Amino acid sequence: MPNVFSYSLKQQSYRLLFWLIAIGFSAIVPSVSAQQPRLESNQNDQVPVSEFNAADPLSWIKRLATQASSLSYEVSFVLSRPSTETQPYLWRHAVLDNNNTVEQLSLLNGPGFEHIRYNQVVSIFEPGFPPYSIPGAAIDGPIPSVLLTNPDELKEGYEFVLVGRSRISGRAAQQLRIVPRDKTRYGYHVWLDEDSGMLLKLNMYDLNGKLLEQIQVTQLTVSERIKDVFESLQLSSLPRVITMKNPPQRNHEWQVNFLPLGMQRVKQDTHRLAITGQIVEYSMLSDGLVDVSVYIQQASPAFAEGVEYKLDTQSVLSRTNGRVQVTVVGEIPLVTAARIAESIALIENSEVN
Amino acid sequence: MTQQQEKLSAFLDGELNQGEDVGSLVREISADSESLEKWKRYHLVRDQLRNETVSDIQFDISANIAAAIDKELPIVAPKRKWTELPVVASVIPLVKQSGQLAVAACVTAVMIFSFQTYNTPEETTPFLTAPPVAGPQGGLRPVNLEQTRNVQRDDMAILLEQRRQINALIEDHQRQLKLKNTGVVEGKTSEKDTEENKVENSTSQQP
Repeated sequence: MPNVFSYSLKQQSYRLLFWLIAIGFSAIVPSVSAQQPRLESNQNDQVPVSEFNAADPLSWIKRLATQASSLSYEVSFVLSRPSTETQPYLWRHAVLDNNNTVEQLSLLNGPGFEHIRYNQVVSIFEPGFPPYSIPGAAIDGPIPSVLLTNPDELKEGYEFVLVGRSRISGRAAQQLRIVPRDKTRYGYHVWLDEDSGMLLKLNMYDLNGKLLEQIQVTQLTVSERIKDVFESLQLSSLPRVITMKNPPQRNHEWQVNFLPLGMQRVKQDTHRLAITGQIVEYSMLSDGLVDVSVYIQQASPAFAEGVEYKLDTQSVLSRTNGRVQVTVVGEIPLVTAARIAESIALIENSEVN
Repeated sequence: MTQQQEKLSAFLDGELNQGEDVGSLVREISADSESLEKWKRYHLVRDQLRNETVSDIQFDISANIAAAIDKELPIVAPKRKWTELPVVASVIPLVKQSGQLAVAACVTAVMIFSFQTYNTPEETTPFLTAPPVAGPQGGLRPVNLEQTRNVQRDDMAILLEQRRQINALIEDHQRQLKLKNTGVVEGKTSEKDTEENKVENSTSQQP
């Protein structure tokens, strides 16, 4: 027995030593000579060597964003939630010869849907609706687009923590946690491929550490040949871009006084709900990762007692005082939704009391 | 002792200070069986924390079990009760089963009788001269029954309406998310609508 122990002990201590040295070395090398290529870098790596720091979690996230927008890749992943069926997705991205970028996201089960982004235009093909295009910098899919475009936005509301290395989808991965600084939102675990920096797994947990949603990459191919797939794409066959005019809006006479750290109001307007035709005053709050909708409308008898409802990861919470009802919808805990809803007040200097 | 424990922990995390002698620490640990156990346990804890535990962890608990068995008092056979005598033991289940049978028979009898008595009046209603009027006035049923059903329907209506409105809100939320990246407010509502909005909003907000 002692022999076996000392053997594994020795082996493990050597491995630890090796990593200590490797980390130390990789930390020294970029600072000493910026021209020398980094130790673990491969051909796919297009991040400037001097910028990437393996010990800095934000650096990993930034690398994900740069890689996701500059590489050509094909990713198969599944989205699963504890109470629902898993959903398989196919996600392709290519940088074409003329520096145009094409991205495709398809849901592979059932009638599914298809999103195609060509530079700054997103075309949406959904069952039941005629296809349409809207201007947009990212596809609204299960993977939060901010992680792939502008992770710097998250610094205020979230803390990034390096957890360690592990093996995901057959690749060496670095695990990170994205922790909301004020514990009012859900937390995330992210696994990134050490080679390419791409996303391999993304878990969302609630405040008690219960798993809410999981994105697991099953196959990742980073290759220049992906762009051949898009050769058959005819730009002329994509639906026309809907031009949307901005109707005149006036400012609301209420405001949300409690905002989770890093969240701010990104939009406000007055519009009709498509299904019921009700008119609502609408505000969107966002911290980049999570978007929350706040609706204010005339009280309806159906909501007389207030509503607290959870659908998958979405929370719907409604409070009413008999005349006006406030509804908060979004991927946040019900506790936070309640705090937001209860903090809504009329702006003081308006005449309405 | 605690200092060594700290060192061990730091070593495990790869956070040992540069100056410290790793070799001697390794020798120290491997010489001491307690430290070895700790080393093993720390790794297990770390794996568990990261959810990387291998399914076939080998705890060597045989020594503990052996010690526990040694400490255990010798097992004494309990006295036989009268119900366990050979003849009585074979009769008891029979009695039990027959009891169950009796209960089942009673239940069946009650069901049959009640079914028959329930059904007889309904079968004898063929003497209508005209077909019943459709709708709530078609009153062959007791009045109170109809009323309770009405109340239920109201509850259902409110619930359905609530569900419909929740769906509308969720659907609108998803739509807003889709349009978020565009930075343009959706303009499907016409100018007339927005005019209406203003009127309605101002009335709804007046006390």
